Amino acid sequence: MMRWIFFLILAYVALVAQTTVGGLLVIHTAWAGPVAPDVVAMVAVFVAMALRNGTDAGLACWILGLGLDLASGPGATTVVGPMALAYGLGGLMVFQLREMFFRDKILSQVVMTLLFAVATHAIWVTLQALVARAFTWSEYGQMLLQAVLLGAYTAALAPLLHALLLRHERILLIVPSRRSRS
Amino acid sequence: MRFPIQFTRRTLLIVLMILSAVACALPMGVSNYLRGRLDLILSPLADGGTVVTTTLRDRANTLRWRPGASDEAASMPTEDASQWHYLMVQQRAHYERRLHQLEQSQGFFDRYSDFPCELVPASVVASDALPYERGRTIRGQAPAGAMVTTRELFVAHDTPLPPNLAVLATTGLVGQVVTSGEFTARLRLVTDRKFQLPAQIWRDPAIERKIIVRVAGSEQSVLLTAANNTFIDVKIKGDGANGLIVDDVPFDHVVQPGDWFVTRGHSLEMPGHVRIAQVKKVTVHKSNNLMRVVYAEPLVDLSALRDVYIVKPLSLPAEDSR
Repeated sequence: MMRWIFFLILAYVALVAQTTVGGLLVIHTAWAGPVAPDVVAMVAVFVAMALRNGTDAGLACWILGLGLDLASGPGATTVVGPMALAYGLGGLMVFQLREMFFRDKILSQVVMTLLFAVATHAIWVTLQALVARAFTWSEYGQMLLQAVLLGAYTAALAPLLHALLLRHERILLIVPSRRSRS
Repeated sequence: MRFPIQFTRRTLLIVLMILSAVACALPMGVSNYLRGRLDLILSPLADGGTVVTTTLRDRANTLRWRPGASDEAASMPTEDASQWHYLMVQQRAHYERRLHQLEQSQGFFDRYSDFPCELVPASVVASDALPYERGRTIRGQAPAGAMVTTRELFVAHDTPLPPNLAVLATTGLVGQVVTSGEFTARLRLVTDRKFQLPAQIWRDPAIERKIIVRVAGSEQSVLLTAANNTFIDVKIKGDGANGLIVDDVPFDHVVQPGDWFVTRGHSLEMPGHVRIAQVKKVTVHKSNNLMRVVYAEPLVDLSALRDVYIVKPLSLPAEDSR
């Protein structure tokens, strides 16, 4: 089961962290422009790997994606929806793939976060270019490269956040079963 | 009678996924409205985070360690009379140069036409969650003595601000208001890919150069002076990272690093010559040798941006004043 109230608080804190102190971690690259870690993606992967129910994982990731959608962009360029959709699908993907990995291993966390972040951001960039016409096709290639670098950066930092969240996993996400509590 | 679809969490997830797909096709106004709602929830805590971030940035900028700085300071020959004289001469020359620049920059403000406007103080409370665009969420500052729980609008108005208002920091233009809700507004920074603005290049006369001018149908190469230093009309755009670009400046204007991008004096939103950025690099255009690509850097450290002013015209300027 899922502690939804605690999860929503965690989602809120992750979103605030990304829109404020996340700015301190931005790296400026010559070819792809600014690259910043996606803290919300780290949380989404952690949740999708920790939960025992695929639907809950999809719902939790959808909420995180919606938050990211709403907190992005100066407005009048990009639409709300693509990141919620991408995160929902990404959460289901991670939930399906997690059987192949030991989730306590650092390598598993890095690979899962890399896959999740690159896939979701590539979907976001593609949908914004196609549906909202937010970017030209000449910008599209550069932004895909930006998405890949962002995924790599996020994956590199993911084990740190996973280690922190693993300590508080039972408080944040999982309600212990009645049998284990008794 | 049973409801034909059993409402489980799986059904909810499917419905939400369909809704988010539908939301992509909805008009932009819906997205902007939803973003305005989130800003109400996000901004109280994000405000604190932004204070921490900008303070750390400011500290990092002021405490840049330079190797050997302390040795240089210790060995500075302040007692030596000749060195002292040399320093005084240098300072005097620097003062004269600055005074000259100041006299030139007074031309940045039109003394003969009035522009009734209100400078609305605001604070940056959050930056973009994704790095693909360069924007900030800003919120009006409460007046001194107001309780933090007071429902303060930008200028105590119940209506959102109109779009495209210029936003200034203490040293120059930083962007434009794109959308605004009741309590917050979204600012597009000058470095955003979508930022475009008719502007002008002002060549710094302190930098010696020869420009090509046309006199009686013939071209002449003359020294740039205050008399022949005209503003060059250009359209600036953000590069999506940390700078601004103009890619079609004719070579005969001889734009050089150290020159300035300024706002056009006759624009409706910002009718004065306010500085935007300083030219850092000039290269030859790839497909046209007669054109130059000019790269500039904003005057303000946008990563540490906190306090800004929104220029809100009280009325449109009269036609004859423009």
